[in-house]
Amino acid sequence: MNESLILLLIETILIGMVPRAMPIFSAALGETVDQSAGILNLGVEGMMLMGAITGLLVDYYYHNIVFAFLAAGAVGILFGAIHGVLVITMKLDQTVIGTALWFVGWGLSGVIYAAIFGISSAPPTVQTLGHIYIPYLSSIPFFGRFIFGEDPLVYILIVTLIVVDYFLFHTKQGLNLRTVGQDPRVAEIMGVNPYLYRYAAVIFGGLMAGIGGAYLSLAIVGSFYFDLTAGMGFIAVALVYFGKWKPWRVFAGTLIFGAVYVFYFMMENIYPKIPYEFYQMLPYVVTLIMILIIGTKARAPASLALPYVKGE
Amino acid sequence: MNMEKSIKEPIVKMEGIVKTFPNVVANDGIDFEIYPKEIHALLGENGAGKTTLMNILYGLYKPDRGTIYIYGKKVNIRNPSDAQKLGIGMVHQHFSLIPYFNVLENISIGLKELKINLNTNKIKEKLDRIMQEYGLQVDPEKKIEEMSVGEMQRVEILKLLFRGANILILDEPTSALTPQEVEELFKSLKSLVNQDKSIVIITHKLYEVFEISDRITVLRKGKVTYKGFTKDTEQEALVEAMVGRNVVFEEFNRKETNYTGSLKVIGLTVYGKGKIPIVNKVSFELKRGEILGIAAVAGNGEKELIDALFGLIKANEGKIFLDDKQIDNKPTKTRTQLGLSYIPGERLTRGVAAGLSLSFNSILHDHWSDPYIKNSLLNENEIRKFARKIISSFYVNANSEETLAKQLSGGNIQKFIVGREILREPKYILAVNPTSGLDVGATQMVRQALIEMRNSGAGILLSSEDLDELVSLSDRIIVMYKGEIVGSFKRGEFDKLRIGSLMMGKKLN
Amino acid sequence: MNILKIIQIVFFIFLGLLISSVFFILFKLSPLSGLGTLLYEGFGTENGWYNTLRMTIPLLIISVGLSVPFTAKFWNIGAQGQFIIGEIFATWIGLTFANIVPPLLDIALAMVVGFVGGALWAMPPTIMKLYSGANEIITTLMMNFVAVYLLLWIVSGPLEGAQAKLVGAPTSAPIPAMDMLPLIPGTQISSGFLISLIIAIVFFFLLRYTKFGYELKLIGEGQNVASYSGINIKRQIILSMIISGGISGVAGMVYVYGITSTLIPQFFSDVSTSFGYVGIPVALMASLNPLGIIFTSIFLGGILNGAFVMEAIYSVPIDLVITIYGLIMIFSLIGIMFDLSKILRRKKIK
Repeated sequence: MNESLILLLIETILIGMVPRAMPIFSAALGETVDQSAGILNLGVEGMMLMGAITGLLVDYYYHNIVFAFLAAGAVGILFGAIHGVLVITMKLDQTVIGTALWFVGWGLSGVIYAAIFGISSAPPTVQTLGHIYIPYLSSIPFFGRFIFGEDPLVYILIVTLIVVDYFLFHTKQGLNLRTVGQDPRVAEIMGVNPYLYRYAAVIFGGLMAGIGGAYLSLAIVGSFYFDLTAGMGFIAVALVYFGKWKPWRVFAGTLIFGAVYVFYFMMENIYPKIPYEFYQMLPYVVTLIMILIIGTKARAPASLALPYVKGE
Repeated sequence: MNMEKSIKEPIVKMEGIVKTFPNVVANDGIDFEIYPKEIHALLGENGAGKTTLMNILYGLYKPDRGTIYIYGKKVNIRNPSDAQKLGIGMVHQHFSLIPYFNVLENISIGLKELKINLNTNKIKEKLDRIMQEYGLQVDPEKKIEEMSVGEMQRVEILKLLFRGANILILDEPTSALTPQEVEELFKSLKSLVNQDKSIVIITHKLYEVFEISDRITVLRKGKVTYKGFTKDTEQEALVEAMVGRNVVFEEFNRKETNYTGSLKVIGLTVYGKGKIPIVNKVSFELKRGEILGIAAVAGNGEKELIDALFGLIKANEGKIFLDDKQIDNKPTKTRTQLGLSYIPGERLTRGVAAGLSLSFNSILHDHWSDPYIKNSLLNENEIRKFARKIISSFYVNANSEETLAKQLSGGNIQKFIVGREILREPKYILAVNPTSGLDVGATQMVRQALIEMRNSGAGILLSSEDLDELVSLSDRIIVMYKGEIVGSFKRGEFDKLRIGSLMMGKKLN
Repeated sequence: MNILKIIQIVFFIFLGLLISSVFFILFKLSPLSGLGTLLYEGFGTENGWYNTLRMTIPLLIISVGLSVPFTAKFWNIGAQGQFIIGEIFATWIGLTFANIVPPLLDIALAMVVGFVGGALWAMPPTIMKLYSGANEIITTLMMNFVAVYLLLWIVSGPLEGAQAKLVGAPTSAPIPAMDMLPLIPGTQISSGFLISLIIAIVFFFLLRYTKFGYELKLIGEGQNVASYSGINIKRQIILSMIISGGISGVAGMVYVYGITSTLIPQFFSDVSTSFGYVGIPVALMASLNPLGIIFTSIFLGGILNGAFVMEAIYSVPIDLVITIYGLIMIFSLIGIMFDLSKILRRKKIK
C-alpha cells in the first residue's frame, strides 16, 4: 500500500467513525449518569432497540425526523421510569431486572415491527439524517469533513457531553448525584434525596439509550431489522467502565469503536481473503480486549448496583 | 458548670417521644431537653434508645408519637435538611463522609447556599474562616480515605458548623479515638460551647460523662431513668440508672496456666499500596493459655495483622508458626483445621452468611470433614445438632436452627459467631471487638467464655477498641502504631495513659 | 420454601403472562384467546407436547447448568455461546468419526468433546472476572457474539456440507442416522429428554447435598464470608463455570444428535434457538432449584413451541416470547421477593 492510500484510509475512518460511534456514545453517556448514581442499567440494549423502532415508525409515517427522535426519547424515558420503579422503589436485583428489560425491549421491538410491517416483508427504509456541511471549513482537506461535516445530532450530542461533564463535576447537583452513587445514606443525611437523584438518573439513562437507538435506525441504517443493535448496548456498558465514569474518556472509547466499525466495513472489501465473519467479530473482540486492559484499575462508584433501603 | 444556665429556657424540648420498631420499643415516652451553651451527656447501654432518640431529632426517623419544640416553637422535622435549617447537626458513629471525595466536596454535598455552580473557592474561603474561628484544622484538599479517624471527626464537626449548626449531636464520638485524641476533642467541644453552641454527646462511658458534661440524661430500655446536673450526680446512682441494679463487675477466675505450644509470629510484614508497609516486621508469641491484647487506634495495622494471621490477606514477609508448624504459606482452610478460630469485627458481612440458615452458618470452617461430611455428602443431622448446641449454650434468641442469620438482631448474631468459634474447640482464637453491640449480660457471658477458653488452654489474640476490656481480660498487651509493635505490657503493669500515649505514636520517657 | 410461597410465585408468573398477552391486540387477537392459543399449541395436543419436549431438552440442560454459577451469584449470560461451541465440537466429532467407530462410542465421544468445547468457551470471561474484575455479564455476552460468527463461518466454510453448497443455504452435512440419539421406544421423543432429566436430578443433589453446592451458596452470600470460611473461591468459581459451560456444550451436542442432525447457522436475532438466553428466566423462576427447573423449562419450552405455531398461523412473530420471558422474569422476581406475611403484619400494626 502506498502512502496516499493509507492517508485515504485514515480519512475514510475519520469521516465514518463519528456517526458510527454515536449510537453507542449516546447510550454510554446515559449509562455513565446511571452508574454515577449507583444504578447499573443492563437493559440499555433493550431500550436502544425500543428507541430504534419508535424513531423509525414515526419518521416512516410522519416524515418528521425531529418528532421521530423525540418519540424515541420518550419511549426511552418510559423504559427508564419502569426500570426505576423496579430497582429503586421495589429494590429488585439490578442484574436480573436489567437482563429482563433487555429481553422485553428486544422482543417488543421485533413484535411492533412485525405487527406493522409483517414478518417477512422487505424492511422499510427512510432517508437517513442529512449532514451539515459548514461552508469552507468542511472542505479543509483531511479534517474538514470530519469536524465540520457531521449531521446535526452529532453536534447536539457533543454539546450534551459537555453539559453532562460540567454537570457531574462542576455543579452541586452533580456532586449530589455522585454522592448518591457512593453512599446514599450519606446523601440522605446531607439533605439530598437519593430516590429523587436515582430516578433522575434512570430517566436520563433511558432517554439517551432511546436516542442512541433512534440514531442507529434513522441516521446510519435508515431502516430496522430484528435485533438491530447487536450488542451495542452492552458495549456501551463496557465503555463506561473503560471510561472510568468520566464522560470525555467514555467519548474517546466510543470513537475507537466507531473506527473499528468503519475499519471492518472497509477491510471486508480491501482484504476479502479473511472470511468476513472474522471482521464482524471485531467489535466484540475489541470490547473484550478493552475490558481486559482496564481490568481492576477501574474503581466503580461504591454503591453501584446496591439498592438503598431507608433507615438501614 | 454554673447555675445560671439552668434558668434559661431549653432550646430543644422533646416531649413524650415514642418510637417502635418491629419487635422492640426503642423510645417509650421520652422527655428530653437541651439548654443553651451546655454539654449534655445522653447516657445508656447499647440498645437503650439513645441513638434512636437523636435520629428522631435529626429527622432520620419519624416518631410514632410525641412533639418537638425548638426555641419554644412546635416543629415537624421530616428529614435531616429540616433539622439543619433549625440549626441541628449530628455526627454519627459511622461517619457520613464519602472516602473517595476530598474535604471541600464532602462539605458541599447538598449544601443549600450553593445554587448550581460548585464554587470551591467560595467554600474554601468560608471553611478557612470557620477553621480559624473554632480552632479546628484540616487540609481542605485532602481525600477522606487518606485521613485518620480524628481528622475525619474534625471534618464532620466542621461540616456541621459550616451549615450553621447551633446544636451538635455526637454519637459515641470517642469510640475509635486514643485517650489523647479524646482529650483534644473535649478541648474543642468546650471551646465550641464557649462560642454559644450546645452539644449532646451520646455515650456509654461513665468517665467521659463526668469529665465533659454539664447535664446528664440516662436512658434504659427506651425510658428516661435519670436526669440531673453532672455536679450533683453520684457515680453509683448513674450506674444504677443505666443497668437497673448496681452491678459489680466480678473479677474473672483467672487460673495459672502452663500449656505447651504457641502461635509464633516472626517479622510479619504486609504491604499496602505503593509498597508502604501496613504491618511492619511484627513479631510476638501467643502462648496457649494466655490472652494477648492488641491495643491500637483503628487503622494502624491491627486489622491487617489479624487478617494475615488467618490467611485472608497475604503476608509479604515473615513467618507464622502454629505449634511449630509453619502456616504462613497455608490457606485459611488449613489454618482452621489446625485449630485457629476467628471472631471477626464485621459480623454481618463476614461473620455469617446472612441469607443462609443458622445450621449452614454453624459449619463455615468445618464443612469439609467429619462429622459434618459423610460419604462426601452433608450430614444434616450433625450440622443441626451443632447449631442447636451453639444456640442453647450462648443463649442465642432464635426460633430454630433453620432461622436465617439475617433474621436475628445484631447482638444475637454476635453471640452466635462467638459461640461457633469457641465451641469448635480451637487451640487459638483471634477475636476482634468480641463484645461490641452486646448488652451487659451478654458482654459478661462472652468475656467469661473467653476466660474459660484461656483457662482450658486456648491462646487468644484479642483486639478491642475498648481499652477497659483489654485491661480486664489480657495477660499481656502489645501496642501497635503505624503497623509496628511499639510497646508491650504485662498484667499488673497496665497503665491506660501510657498505653494511650503509645497508641498515639508518642515515645515514652 | 413453603407451598404458600410457591403459589404466590406461580400467581405472579401468570400475572406476567396476562400482561404480555396484551400484545396480541397488535395482531388482531383478543389477549385471552391469544394467550389461550399459545398455551394450547404448547400443551394442548399430543403433537404439541412432542414439540414442547423437543424444545425442553436443550433448555432444561442449559438451565440446570446455569443454576450452578448463578448459585454463586456469578452471572453467566454466555450459555448461548457455550451451547454453540458445543454444537460445533460435537458435529465435528460426528462428521469425522461417524463411520469409523461404533455409534455408541461416537455419541459418548461427542458428548465429552461437546462438554470440553462449552467449558473452554466459558473460561476467558471467568478468568477475566477472577483476575481483573471484568463484569462477567458483558464478557460472556461478547463471547456469544463471537461464537455466532464463528458458527456462521464454520457452516459456510470448514464444515459446509456438499448438499448445502448446492442449495446455497449453509449447513453442515448431516450426522448419520444410526449415530443419532434413539427415540424413547413407543414415543417420538428423543432419548435426549432422559439425559436431560438425569442431569437435572444429579445437579439437584450436587447443589443441595454436597460440599461443592454448600460452598457455592456461601460464595453467593458474598466474597467476605466466603473467604473467611476458608473456601477457595477462585477454584470453585472456575469449577462452576467449567460445569456450566460444559453442560451448555452437552446441550449443544444433544441438540444436534437428538433433534437437528446438522449444524445450522444461528443469528443472534434468532429467538427460536436462543436456549442460552431463555435458560436465564427458566433457572431464575425455579429459584435455581434443578428439580423446579424441570417444570419451568417445560413451561417456557411450551410457550416457545406455542409461539412457533402462532408465527406460522397468525403471523405473530416469535420475538413475542422474548418479551414474555422478560416480563415473566420481572414478575417471578417480584413473586420471590414479595413477602406477603410481612405486608399482612404491617397492616395489623397500623
